[in-house]
Amino acid sequence: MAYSDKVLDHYNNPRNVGSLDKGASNVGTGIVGAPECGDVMKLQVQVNPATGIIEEAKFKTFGCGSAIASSSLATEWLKGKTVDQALEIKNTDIVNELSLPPVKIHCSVLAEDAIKAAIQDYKQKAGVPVEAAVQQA
Amino acid sequence: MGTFQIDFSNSRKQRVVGIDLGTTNSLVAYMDVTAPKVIPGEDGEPLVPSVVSLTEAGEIIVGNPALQALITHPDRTIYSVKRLMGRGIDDVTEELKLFPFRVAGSGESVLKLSLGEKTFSPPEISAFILRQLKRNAEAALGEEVRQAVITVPAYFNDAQRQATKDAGRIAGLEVQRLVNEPTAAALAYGLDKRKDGVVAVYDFGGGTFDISILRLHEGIFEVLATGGDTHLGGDDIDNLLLKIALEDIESEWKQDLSGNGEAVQTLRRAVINAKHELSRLPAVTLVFDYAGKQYRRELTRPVFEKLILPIIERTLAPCRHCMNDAGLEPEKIDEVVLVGGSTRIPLVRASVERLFRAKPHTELNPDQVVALGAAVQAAILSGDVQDKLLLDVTPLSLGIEIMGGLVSRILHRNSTIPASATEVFTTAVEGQTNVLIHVLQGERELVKDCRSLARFDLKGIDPAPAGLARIEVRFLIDANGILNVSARDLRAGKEQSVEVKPSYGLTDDQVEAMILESIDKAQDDFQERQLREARVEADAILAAVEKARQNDAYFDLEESDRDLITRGLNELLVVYHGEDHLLVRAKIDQLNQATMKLAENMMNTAVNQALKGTKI
Amino acid sequence: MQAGQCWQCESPAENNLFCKFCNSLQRPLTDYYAFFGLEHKLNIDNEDLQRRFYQLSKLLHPDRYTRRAQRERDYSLEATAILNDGYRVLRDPVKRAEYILAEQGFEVGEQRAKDVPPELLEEVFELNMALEELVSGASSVRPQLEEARSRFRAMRREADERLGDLYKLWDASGERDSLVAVRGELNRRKYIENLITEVEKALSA
Repeated sequence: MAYSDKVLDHYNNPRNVGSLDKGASNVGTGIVGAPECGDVMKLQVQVNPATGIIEEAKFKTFGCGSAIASSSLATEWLKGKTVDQALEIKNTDIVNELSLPPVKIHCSVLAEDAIKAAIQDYKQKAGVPVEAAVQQA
Repeated sequence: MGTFQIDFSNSRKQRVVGIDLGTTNSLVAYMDVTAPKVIPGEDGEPLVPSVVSLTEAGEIIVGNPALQALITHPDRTIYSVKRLMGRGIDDVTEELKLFPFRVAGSGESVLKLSLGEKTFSPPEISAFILRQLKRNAEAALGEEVRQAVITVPAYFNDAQRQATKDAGRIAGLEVQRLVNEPTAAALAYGLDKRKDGVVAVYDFGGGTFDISILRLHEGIFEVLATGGDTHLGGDDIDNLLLKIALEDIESEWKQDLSGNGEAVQTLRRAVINAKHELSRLPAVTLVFDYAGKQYRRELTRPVFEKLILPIIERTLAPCRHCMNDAGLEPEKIDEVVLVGGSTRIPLVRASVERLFRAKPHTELNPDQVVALGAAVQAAILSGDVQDKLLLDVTPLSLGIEIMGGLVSRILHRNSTIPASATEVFTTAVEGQTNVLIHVLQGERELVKDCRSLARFDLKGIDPAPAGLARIEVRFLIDANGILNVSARDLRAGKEQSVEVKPSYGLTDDQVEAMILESIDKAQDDFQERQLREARVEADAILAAVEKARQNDAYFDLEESDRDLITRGLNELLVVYHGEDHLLVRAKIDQLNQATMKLAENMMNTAVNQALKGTKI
Repeated sequence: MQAGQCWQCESPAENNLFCKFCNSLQRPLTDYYAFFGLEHKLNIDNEDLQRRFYQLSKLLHPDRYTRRAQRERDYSLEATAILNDGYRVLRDPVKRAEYILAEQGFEVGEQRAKDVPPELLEEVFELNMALEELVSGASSVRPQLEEARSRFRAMRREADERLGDLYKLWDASGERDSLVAVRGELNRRKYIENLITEVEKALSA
């Protein structure tokens, strides 16, 4: 199976590994897991409250290479996007970009879920009404 | 099963022999009424050294004669070829440093070794050994032998197994089953044991080390776990001693002999003898005469043990691993069986005893037990033994390559075989019509650390958007431990064609060509020997009948009986110089029949005369 | 030959391993429980399972079919592969439960992250971080690693106990809710299992 250099690079030198201050009001954190393989992924976004643009994204993933590459790619894509644009990232985009085999598609699902969870966390903190917040009110 | 089965196959049962195709020695055995027996070679020796030589006359010789040639014609002789079975040029570089294999170049995936002016692949060389064993069996059993069970180290991978099977086919043998050596040993060992329990088989041979743990239960021999090292054996001890001796000689004589084939082989023989002696003596003197000079060195057992300790210790880690895989503590192991010539070394026995906390069994000949077990398995396959069954495992995990040069495991090692796994594959780009699958064997996470088995090309997929195709691939490891792959297009519901490119080993076409080349010859061999034997028998009966015709009893016969004898004689003489051994035998029978009455009369006359001379 | 008929004598085959009339081996069933003649329960008597495994091996193994028709040889290989695969799954309480879950329509392979309680993820993440710190630390952390291993093993034991209770619940009631709980506990166990593997890797390095 031939992989593009880019993909291998994401796997060998994952970008944006690390963490942001979880307590900060402009940082959203999402922790998700893929039970079938025991992977766990934390993804964080730091948003400029004035513009709504994601300035920084970090991740930390315990899991297989595909999960690491998926989250690395996701953080690359997040930077410079608005929070709403970020929600448009779909797992299939990641699958196509990385040519993930079927047995590893769940890794891309994990990355998509991590993005959603992080954005939701940010919105909740920033007081932006989201579904969950509305329901709780 | 309440009802009985009707066997539609050939009414006359084909005999299946058991073969231990070893690194150092090979043996053939068969199941005699109740017990397996080893068949000796032409020289009466049960062990046939796994050495092949090409004489200057262009004739292939095998076994003890070839062992002699190893010294006189080292460049026309090959030993320990098992180390190269199923291997590519890249993974034998270590081997080449230690063994005088002459690689004649390597095609796409197969090594070729030169033997004098000719070149052969390792399976072809092994086939020469197998053909010799086949001949020995045929001579002893008086019938053609076409089916065999061949043993392989438990830790052999798919390519090594395939290469062994190829060797069998080239030798004109239908390989009914490949059996793991330690498992075969357990079968021979447990044959007359009624006891159930857990048995560990420690198999330390010439070139390979295997450990297997089995549960014996009501005739079922269930392998729980297996492990080993396909490159660890008595050879390593020989090479170590040889290296030390060569260095020693160099400092003493100021002469480097390591490039001198004849000297090295003579020294090697001396070193091996010393090793053997040290299993029963506290000290030996290594003597090496060469070009008018003599090298002598005293070697004591403690020094020998200190030297080989690191090699012995390399066998212990796989043993611990194997117990762990079987989920057993040493206390749970009821018996330990030793197999392979290297287990004669006292240090090996002591180390095994310490590790398993049990005194190992040594009552079976460690050189023969594997072949005997193979004969038992052969009898199981032919239906002659029905109360035993072997359940073996695959020694290595099976995986496929996924992103990033990683291996995704689909079938774990120590799975009972036959075993299968199913994976669904799809396409990555729109309109893609084939998918390449890379299959690997091994326990490591990275592709580069595992053994590449084959690349499968799934072809003829209906064009569709990326990711829509659903190709279900079934990986099946059969009872020989060999992988079979089949695929189905789930959307179209049809069988999918799979094209296999084995990473190492001969293609089917290559094997076919080698079989064609050799089978005629093997047939000729067999025919010729049969004919020779028939003529010897004919000579005997012709001489006897000639003599009897001088006897009074002959003239007492009716004329018609005398005519029958004359006709029988003439007809036998006519076919005697023909090529058909069956015809010669038929005419021998005919003459035997015709002379029955004459023989009876002669006997009576003799008895009467004897009685006459005796006073009652 | 029609479906449900013996390929050899064409009498009704009724999904048996052997034709009742001519005794030839039939195309094997692929359901592991049916193959072993067991009810679909999460709790299984492993000794009984082993007995069945040995019995079926004696009947089906390819060694017993070398002199038979090609068709029967193929079925024997097929059947023995199913037998061995099934034995591997059914004798393992976790694989067995995953098999039942898949059979009951739980898509084990494509679970969404939301099926996992956030507290568990948080806990696993923190455990992983702590483990990573231990492993990457310069000083010898062997005692801490061993301590972590026994803690994780204790967690796995607890998970197994809870699973055992949940298995009983489902075996008795057959209610889907109990299977949801089984799946949740299996997920948790999977994470613990991963942690144990990681610690062991670190300890053996």
